[in-house]
Amino acid sequence: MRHSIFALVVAVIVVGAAEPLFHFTVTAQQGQRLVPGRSAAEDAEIRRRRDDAYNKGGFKAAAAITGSYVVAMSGQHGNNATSLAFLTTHSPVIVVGNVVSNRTWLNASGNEITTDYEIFVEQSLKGAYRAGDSLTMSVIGGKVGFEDGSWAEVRVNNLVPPFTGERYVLFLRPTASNPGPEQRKAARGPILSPSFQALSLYKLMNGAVSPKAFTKHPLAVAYGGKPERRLLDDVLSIVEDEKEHPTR
Amino acid sequence: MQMMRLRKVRSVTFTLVGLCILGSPIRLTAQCWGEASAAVARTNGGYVTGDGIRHVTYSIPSGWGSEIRAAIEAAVNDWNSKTSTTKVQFEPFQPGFPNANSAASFQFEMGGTGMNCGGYVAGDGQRLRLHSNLISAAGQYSGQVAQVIGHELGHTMNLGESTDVGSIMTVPGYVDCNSNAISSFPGTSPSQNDANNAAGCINQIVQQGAQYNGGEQSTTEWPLCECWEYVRYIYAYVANGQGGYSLYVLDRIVLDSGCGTPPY
Repeated sequence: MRHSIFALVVAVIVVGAAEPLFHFTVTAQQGQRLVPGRSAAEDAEIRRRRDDAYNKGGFKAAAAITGSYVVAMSGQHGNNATSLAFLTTHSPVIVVGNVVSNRTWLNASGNEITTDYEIFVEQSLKGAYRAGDSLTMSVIGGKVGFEDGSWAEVRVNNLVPPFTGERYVLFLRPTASNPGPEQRKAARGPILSPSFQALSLYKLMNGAVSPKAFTKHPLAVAYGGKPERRLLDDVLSIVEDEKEHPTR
Repeated sequence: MQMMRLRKVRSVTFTLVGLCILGSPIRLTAQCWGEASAAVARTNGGYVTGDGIRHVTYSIPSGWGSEIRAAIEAAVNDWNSKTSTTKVQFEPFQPGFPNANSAASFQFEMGGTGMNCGGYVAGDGQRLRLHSNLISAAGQYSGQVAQVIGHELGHTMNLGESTDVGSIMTVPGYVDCNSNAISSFPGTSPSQNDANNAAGCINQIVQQGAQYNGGEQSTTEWPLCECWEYVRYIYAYVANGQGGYSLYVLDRIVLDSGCGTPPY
């Protein structure tokens, strides 16, 4: 029974509703039926009703129409930081940290789904955090369930999310989302978010850097596969320079 | 006296089965455990090598003695002898190897409130709990204790309870370490049929998790300086029971690799 419900809802890909809110590009899924066997006209009507419900009542209202609501978007779009100096100076918090745990949330406005990661700070490169602190990084994307059994999911394509146990260099800023009281209560201090989406996440593996940005992005070319020490030294150098020339 | 003993045995049986049920929504009539949090379904703490072998890591509390360690090793070796079928290799966790994992796929720990003996896998799939009486019995009944551990290792591979004669996943009549009842255990090790079932259940949990609860994406990573891997991550959202979900990796598959400039 559970499988048949899943089979019914897994084909549901809804696009278009969230672009202005999330500043992501929503990827079109042309020709995909909401429910197999349903006509294109019926699909269009359901999409219209669901988008309308989303605009009025957020993900919960949209999910109630058919039991689920899935939004797909690109996590690589809109990255305009092309240098490490720009990325560093526009990120008030930069740390080397380990992903300890994660949990998804619907924001207070009901129109945004995020996954909050608890990060154990191994080294602080910029900002008030110190080694041994924990912080909360909120990243767009995730899945939430509602009391009526319906659920909603934001899928961020082209960006493999962080996973528990991984180690990163993170460029962060205060979140622009609107976290609810429970989410704030669960957080380790102020909730932060990646400053420039994929460009803000640099996974560290065996001393080598794996940027989350596309491999042809200038920052990925500069640091992909390079020793992590090089990235850390470059960031620290920019931070020092920033202290000496704060108005730059 | 005899009646009291019988009641006690029944009580222990009920307790053990009840605890197993905590982590086994599909049981007895089904072969698979059905939990996306099964250790084998996550590469947190483990890894998948190019030959398709899923390396599931475990940690043992430093204070545990040599006898229970030997029983764990025996159970692990039993299952590892079936790796060609299951594509799973259990191995002790080594921090930082082969990547930045900070914890094992699952950890052994002492636990089991309300039970007399035995073991179970916690619902989050990350803790394999053995009762203190079972740990104490490891010296005298090493084969039987290894059977209980082997049964729980089956759950970490998404195997459910079984009624098949000869299966290590068959729920024992009872486990009562205090009354020597454990000596009647056959000390079964995983059969080839168990291994075949495990392979199916592993495949099921990975595919289901990706299809219904998450997704998959490919990316380029550098596990070593100057050398890249083009990998596909399969992941799932697992309900945490409090209205939220947590994200788990189900698989990391290396599609291509090389050194120098990555083509992807």
